[in-house]
Amino acid sequence: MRIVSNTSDSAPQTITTSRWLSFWFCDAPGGASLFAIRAGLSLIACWYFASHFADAGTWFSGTGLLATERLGDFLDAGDLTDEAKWRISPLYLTSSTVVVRIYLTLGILLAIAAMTIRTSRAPAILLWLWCLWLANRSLLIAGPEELALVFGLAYLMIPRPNDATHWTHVLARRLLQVHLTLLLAATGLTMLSSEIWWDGTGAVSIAAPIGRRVIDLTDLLASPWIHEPLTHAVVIVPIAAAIMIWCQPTRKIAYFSLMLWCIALAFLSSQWMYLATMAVLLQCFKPNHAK
Amino acid sequence: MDGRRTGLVHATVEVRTFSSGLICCFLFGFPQRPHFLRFRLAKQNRATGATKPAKPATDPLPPIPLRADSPQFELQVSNGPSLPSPAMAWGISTIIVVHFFLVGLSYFSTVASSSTQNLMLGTVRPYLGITHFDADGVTFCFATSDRSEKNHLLQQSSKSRGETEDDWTMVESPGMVGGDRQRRWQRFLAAVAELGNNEQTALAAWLVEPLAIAQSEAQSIRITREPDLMTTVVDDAAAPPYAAAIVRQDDGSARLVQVPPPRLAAEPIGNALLEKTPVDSAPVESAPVESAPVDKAPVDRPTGENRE
Repeated sequence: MRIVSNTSDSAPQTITTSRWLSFWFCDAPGGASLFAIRAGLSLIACWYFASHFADAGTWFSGTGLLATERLGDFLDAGDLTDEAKWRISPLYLTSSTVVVRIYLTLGILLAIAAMTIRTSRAPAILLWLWCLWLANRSLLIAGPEELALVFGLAYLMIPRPNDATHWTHVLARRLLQVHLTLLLAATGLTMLSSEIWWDGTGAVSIAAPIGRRVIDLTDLLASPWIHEPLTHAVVIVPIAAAIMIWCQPTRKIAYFSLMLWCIALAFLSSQWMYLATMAVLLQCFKPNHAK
Repeated sequence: MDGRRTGLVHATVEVRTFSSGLICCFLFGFPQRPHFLRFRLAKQNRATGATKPAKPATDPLPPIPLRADSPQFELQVSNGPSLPSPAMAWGISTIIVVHFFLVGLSYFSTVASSSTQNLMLGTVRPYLGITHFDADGVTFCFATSDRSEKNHLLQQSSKSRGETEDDWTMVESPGMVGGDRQRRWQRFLAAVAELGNNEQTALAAWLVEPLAIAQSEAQSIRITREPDLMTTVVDDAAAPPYAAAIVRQDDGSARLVQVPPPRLAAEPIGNALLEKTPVDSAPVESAPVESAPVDKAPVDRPTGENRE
């Protein structure tokens, strides 16, 4: 059966007869859920830019620890230029703290615009570029939060605004879902490479450097009856959920397990921004909106 | 009797469709909605006694696409979401496959990578680097009991070679404990400490030099790892991963001279000869510079022999 799309009457479409293509383009619209994700990521982007504001001079000024010239010399001396030369960012062109702070302020304004303006793609694209350039400039100090934020914003600039039924919404949601699944699988499987995730001390190892933690949970985790099951759960949940979340009967339990996983790890590791980003991105699997 | 047999047949069919749906979920990664739809509707019919599938008033599940060969489906598509042309759809999905292959390649090479992975990642680095889609050394697994995950402390001393712990004072790190600012600070210190551990002290000095200049009273600087619940006595007694004396220049810049870690000696601690040797008069600027450390001259671009 050949289906004729209402977008181009002259081009007969066979998309819907292919399960592969219907997976990427013909799913139920998820506009509401994408809006929630965009709002959440915009808030986290505000947080991200604001967190750089106080230390802009410490890191990026002419006398800063990651000043462009110094960083270039360091990479040259270490023969690391090939590793880093594709971290392109216009922020390498400036050594002024004021300019960097203006950049951060504009980033916050763009995040607010991306959250509120729903008639144009421009704020979403600019916000992605703003985050991307700052992440690329933050060589040596960037972490998983930049990674999750940047890929989330990259996919959210795809949907056409003001048209929740457009196929780009479906595509963006699918891209988020598949990428998040890859991230969860990589997280769980890389845990298996370390002994601490087998012998039950992984949870304690996360919480042990209390100088890096907001809350000291080492006393609470002292009992093996607590930290060992917690360790095993931290490993099992991302691996199992990466599969279960794609099955309708187990989607809800996988979704809520992953949300609990994010909360537990946020308390253990204090990586609030990264795990908040993960929790926001997980909304693309929210049972009421996802297939 | 006929009704009971019909019910049994329906139950068997439902179980089969449900099982096949589950298997397809695992094999193909997405559920077979039409099968689930039939299963759910048949279950509702049995409960209500209806002969035809009835749509519930409030459906807790998301809208379920119809089969492509059904007339309702054609109606839904023609009035519903717009679709790309088949050529565009296949083009986009090809790009998607390549994209996720590269992202997966990067994510699954964070622990260790084969030469094939390195070759491929080196080829596609422009794409993954520019877009920040690559993992780039990020450890996803939160903890591996590696020493670089410990809390690092930056300390300074007014002596060119602090001998006791009392000689060292901690340099305050920015931001609140556990916050994002301090996390970046910790990543930076961990990178310097790792360079120091790998005896790449010249590279470490490139990074630390602004900190040395900022501590105007300091004569030496070091990075230590804070003991915690998971460190052993041996770990805690290990030498700091990076320690250097600061040689200040007239133009305000500074050179960092590595202070070699103490070595095991046969002489007992408290040897009278050692006690008489003034610590501060140790030839920091002569002996360490000439012998062990790989120094750097931050004022000018370092020459080749100073690099590691």
